[in-house]
Amino acid sequence: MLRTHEAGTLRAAHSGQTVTLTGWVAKRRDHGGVAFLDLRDASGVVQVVARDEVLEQGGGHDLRNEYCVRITGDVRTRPEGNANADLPTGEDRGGRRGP
Amino acid sequence: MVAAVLEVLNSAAPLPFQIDERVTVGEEARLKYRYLDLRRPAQGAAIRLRSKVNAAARAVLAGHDFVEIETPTLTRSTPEGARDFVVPARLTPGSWYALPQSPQLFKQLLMVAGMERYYQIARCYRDEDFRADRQPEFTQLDIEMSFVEQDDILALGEEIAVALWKLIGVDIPTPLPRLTYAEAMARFGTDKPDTRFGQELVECTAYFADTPFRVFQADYVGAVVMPGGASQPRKTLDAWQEFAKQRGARGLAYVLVQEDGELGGPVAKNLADAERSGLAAHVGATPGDCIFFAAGAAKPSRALLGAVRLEIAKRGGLIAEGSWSHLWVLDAPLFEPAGDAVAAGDVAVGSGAWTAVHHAFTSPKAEFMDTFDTDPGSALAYAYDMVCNGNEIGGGSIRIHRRDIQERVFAVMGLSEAEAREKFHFLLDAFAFGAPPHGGIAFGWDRICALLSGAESIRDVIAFPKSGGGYDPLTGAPAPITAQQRKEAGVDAKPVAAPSA
Repeated sequence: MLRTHEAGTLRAAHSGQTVTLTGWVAKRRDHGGVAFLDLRDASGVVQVVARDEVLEQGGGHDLRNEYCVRITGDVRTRPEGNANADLPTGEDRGGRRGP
Repeated sequence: MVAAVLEVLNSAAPLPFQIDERVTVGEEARLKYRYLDLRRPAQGAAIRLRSKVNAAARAVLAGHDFVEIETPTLTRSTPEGARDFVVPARLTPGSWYALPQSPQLFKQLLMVAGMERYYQIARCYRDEDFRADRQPEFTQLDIEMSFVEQDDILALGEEIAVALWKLIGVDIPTPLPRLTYAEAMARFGTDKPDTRFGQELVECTAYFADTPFRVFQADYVGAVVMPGGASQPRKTLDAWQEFAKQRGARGLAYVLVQEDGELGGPVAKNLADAERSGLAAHVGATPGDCIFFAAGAAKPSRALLGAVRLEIAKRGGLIAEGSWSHLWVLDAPLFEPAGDAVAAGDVAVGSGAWTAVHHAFTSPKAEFMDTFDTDPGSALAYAYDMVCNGNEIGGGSIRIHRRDIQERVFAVMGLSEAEAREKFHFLLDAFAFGAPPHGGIAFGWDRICALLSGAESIRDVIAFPKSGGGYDPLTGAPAPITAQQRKEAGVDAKPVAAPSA
């Protein structure tokens, strides 16, 4: 398997684990040195935070919607007040580490 | 029970044959009255088992969140190794649909569509010349997965096989043995070895390196041992020559190991003394055995010995009743010389010297990624076949998901960019939109059902099969159509000439 988990299955209980996900870039927003990616696979969507140098290193600087990617990183719960009740994975977001 | 009331719901006309286990009529009559044939217990049971086979596979796949998806059967003609059945398009006279040889391209498109896990019990169509026990339409369990590697597909394939054989009370030990293609060819002379018995091919090329016997001064010399074969009468040994000639060989050299250990037969006296004295030990023969040899180019020689090996098992009763052998054959070559494909009755795709062994979308193994186009003959593929009792019952591969690699493969096959675009533009276009790494497998459903039923032929596990030549004795298909149908269908429409460049 090219992944350890499916995006839509991550929950607060996974917090602190290192996981590898695969899927498609559903959305990208840049916020001064950090990119927020919505990573979509068949199971759902998870929000990924990636610092610019991690994007750069993975050849993902020009990452656009519907690029197919593999991302390894640690699962973190979102900061207080940022939880997204609309997503089953809305309490989580992965920190991106490499491609 | 004791009848209290009896009512005739319907009467029966005189029967064309008796409905019991004894088969007294020819297959043509059985197929013409297949609905009566299926009232016989074994024939009916085979069809019922097939339904259970479908259900068992679906249960395994549902357990892994697979999505069952139907793909079109009226589609575009794409070369896939055999001839297409074509269907006239009434609304655009001169244009034709093709019936799919497999859902290959659609299942790859479904991976681009993000389905991740697809399967279908799919009807496929190939317009081939008559070959033993083939049907023009047949069924595959067709599977494709995204974000997987070869081992993931093999594990799933084994889980399915275990579930199917459990239906007949057989436990298949897993993981299944794995042979490389090269090993299978060297040891068994075939890419679908039957390992229910021994009698493996013995490599003798080095053993005869300095032989005075001209026939054995060859690129390859191999042997296979027939236990107890030394007592075969001359007539039987002559028949083996015929056996070899039917397979395109000049003959079949043999040495008889007499009971006193001396070597007999016409070949023995041509060998050097040292060759004679060590021969039985080298090939593992004991007194009373016959040693068959093939010499020449490795590929045809091994194929001949592989056929001899099977025939030895058949004649000698070497295969234990009710025994099963399941295994994987891995690492098949990516390409074969186009001439070999045509000789095997396939359609070579592209005009190059090389054509794909599996199909054009099979990925080279990682270690051949840089060299497969400069040295096509040595490149191996992420391709795998599941073999059961000497039958290829499933096969698949990890696919190419990158457009640049796909284009290099097409180039080796002699498909120009324009030709590739014309044939596969929809797939190449799709690959431009973040196609995921993917791979799959297809199981030969008719063959698997026949093996599970203990049926001789796949015709026994198909409710309404065709007989030889693709004829259906029940409905009389294929049949002429009326002039009116012909006109409407546009069969005779002259294609509009393509605008010349």
